[in-house]
Formats: sequence, structure tokens, C-alpha cells
Amino acid sequence: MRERLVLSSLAEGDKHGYAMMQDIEAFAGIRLGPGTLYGAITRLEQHGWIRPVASTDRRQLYTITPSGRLHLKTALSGLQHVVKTGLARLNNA
Amino acid sequence: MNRLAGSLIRLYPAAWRKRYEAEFAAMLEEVPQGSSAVFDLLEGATRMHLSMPSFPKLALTLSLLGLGVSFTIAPRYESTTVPIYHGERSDRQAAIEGLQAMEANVLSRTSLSNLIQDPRLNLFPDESPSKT
Repeated sequence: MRERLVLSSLAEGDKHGYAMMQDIEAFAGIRLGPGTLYGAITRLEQHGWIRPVASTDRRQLYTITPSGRLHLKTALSGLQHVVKTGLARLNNA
Repeated sequence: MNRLAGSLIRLYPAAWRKRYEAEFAAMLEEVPQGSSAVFDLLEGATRMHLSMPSFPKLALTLSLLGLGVSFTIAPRYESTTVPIYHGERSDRQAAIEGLQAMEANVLSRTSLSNLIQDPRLNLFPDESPSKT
């Protein structure tokens, strides 16, 4: 879940940690703590789904990789199917 | 970054800090400090330690796993007997037949039932009639 939020944030463009936190809070209403965010960043970088890019200051910018985009697309498609099915069943009940 | 956050970063694994400490510290300077951030840093450090591979953690995990598995395996009782015949060669066939008869007797339903229920052996204490 946290990884998907970070990938969704980076799908819009490169961001540093605090910008991700603000973006995720704005579009998902979830405030990730600094430890939680960097745990997700660590795992995503280990998978090769994000990578650091050159920054002009001490704050590290991250970008989503092509395999990260593919992973996010697959994950969100699966989620979309679950949401669609759940809503349809609620409407039919 | 306040001093508390700075000291909490030191709780993270050294290998992780080597890669992320500088940028993590830079981010913490922007994040509003509060009790939730402190707890989040503590949780993050704990999770990071658990996710980093190390021999002591592997040994502890495997030990606990082995302990857990040992509780799921039902105890088995096994006994082995090796009869050695020292008699005359001409008596050998009679001895074999005697041993076969003895084996059939020992492994008979009545004999095994007596062994299982013998209070001196106490083979299945959890299934004794007194605990029904």
C-alpha cells in the first residue's frame, strides 16, 4: 500500500521525500511518517522500481523507473478490478 | 532537525545509514516534529533492523521456527530388538520359528493394548482415562 502511494506520487514527476509526503497527503489523505516513507523508498529502490536522480541540494530526488511504472500499472489494475467488483455487488445487494 | 530526531536516526542499521542518512536527515529538517514522528522513526528503525539480513537474526528465526515445528509433530515411540542366536545349527529352524511366534505374540493387538495401557510405562499421559 505504502509503496503504491509512493509510486503513484512519483508517476507524476520526480520528487524528494518531503514533497512525496505532501503529495500523498493531498491525493490520498494519508500522512506517511518519515520512517514509514523511507522504509517504502528503501524497498522500492531494492526492487529497482525507483532510483535516485541528481539533486541541486541535500534533499534527494527520486524518479520512477520503467519497471516501477509497469509494477504500479499491474497493481492498480488489480485494485481497480476489486473496487469495480465490490461496488457492483453493493449496488446489486 | 532537532537533536531527538538526530539521535533516532542512529537507531537505524549502520548499512542503511551509510546509504540514506544524509538525505533522511535533510528531509527530517522539513518534517514537523512531534510525538507521532518520533514513534514513526522508532517503528521505522525496528522494521529496518528486521528487514536487514544478518546471521544472529537468521539463527534466532530458524531456532524459533524449529521450536514451533517441534510442537506440531506428534511424538513417536520406537523400539528395536536384535536377537542373537548362539545355539546349535540343527536347532536353528526351531529357534527361528520360536522367534516368529514370539514376534506375533508381542505385536498382537492384546499385547500392544496392554503396553499402551500399562500405568508403569505412562506412554500417553494426556489420553489417560482419568483425564477424560
